[in-house]
Amino acid sequence: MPKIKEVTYDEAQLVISEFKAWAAGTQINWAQKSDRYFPKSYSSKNPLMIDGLLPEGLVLELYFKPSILTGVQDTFSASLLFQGVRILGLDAGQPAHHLNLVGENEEMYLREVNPPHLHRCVPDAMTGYAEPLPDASIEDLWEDFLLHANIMDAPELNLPDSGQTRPLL
Amino acid sequence: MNCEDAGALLNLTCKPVTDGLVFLQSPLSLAFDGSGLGAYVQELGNERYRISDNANTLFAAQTFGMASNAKRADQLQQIARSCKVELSDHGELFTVCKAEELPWFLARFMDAMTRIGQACLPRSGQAI
Repeated sequence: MPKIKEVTYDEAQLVISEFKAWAAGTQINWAQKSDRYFPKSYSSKNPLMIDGLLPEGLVLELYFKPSILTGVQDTFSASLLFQGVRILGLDAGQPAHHLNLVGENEEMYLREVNPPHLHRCVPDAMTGYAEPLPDASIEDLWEDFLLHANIMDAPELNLPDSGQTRPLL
Repeated sequence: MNCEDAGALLNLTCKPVTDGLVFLQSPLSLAFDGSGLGAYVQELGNERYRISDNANTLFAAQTFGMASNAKRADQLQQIARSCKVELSDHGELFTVCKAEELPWFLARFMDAMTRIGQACLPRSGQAI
């Protein structure tokens, strides 16, 4: 995994609270990952603007993995990344809970959180803390995430299929 | 400590998914993000079972920025094989076993997920 720059809790909170405008066109463009021995998944990297500028290191990454097993939910993940740190994230469709080993003064500290859940930074850790979200469709969770992340003008979620993807460069 | 009850302390919970398919949730978690470790167990008939992670372990690592390259693939393959688990071309950890072998293979499967989670940590060793 890439080495990441240090981001403080206050910086992360400031970036989350800023109104951010979608700067990646009128639909989400997905790239397919198809390397041997790795999941056949899709990703989308989307720049965001603040006050008409594209801040360095600010990006919204989306991931989608169709289930291999029949009858099992597909998996969707959204990450608001700042300087490579996931300062806000949404995980949906995973079967397993998330265990909060950080966030000592938070309500869900040391508790297991079922999916879907929202990852957010806490004073003692940039990542690793999650809170439950109401069970909903991926499309509805996407809308909720945009509100949490203060992202405006984003398109509706178009999940990938073979006609909407391009090979990963 | 009552030894008869102590065997259940490492709590494993079972969620039905579809007919013949369940998800077993362990109290263990992946090193890089705290996601719980668990496995799908599918009945194949003739008292045989297929254990799978539905490619979720490596998908979670991808969402945390893990590079998918040949060197990493070799490393992950070696880890899986050392735990007697397969890594498919589609990034799925899986194994097939007989009913009486299920506890042993389930434990090896959790071993594989744990070790792969460790291998996916960034160089600093900090969860990201």
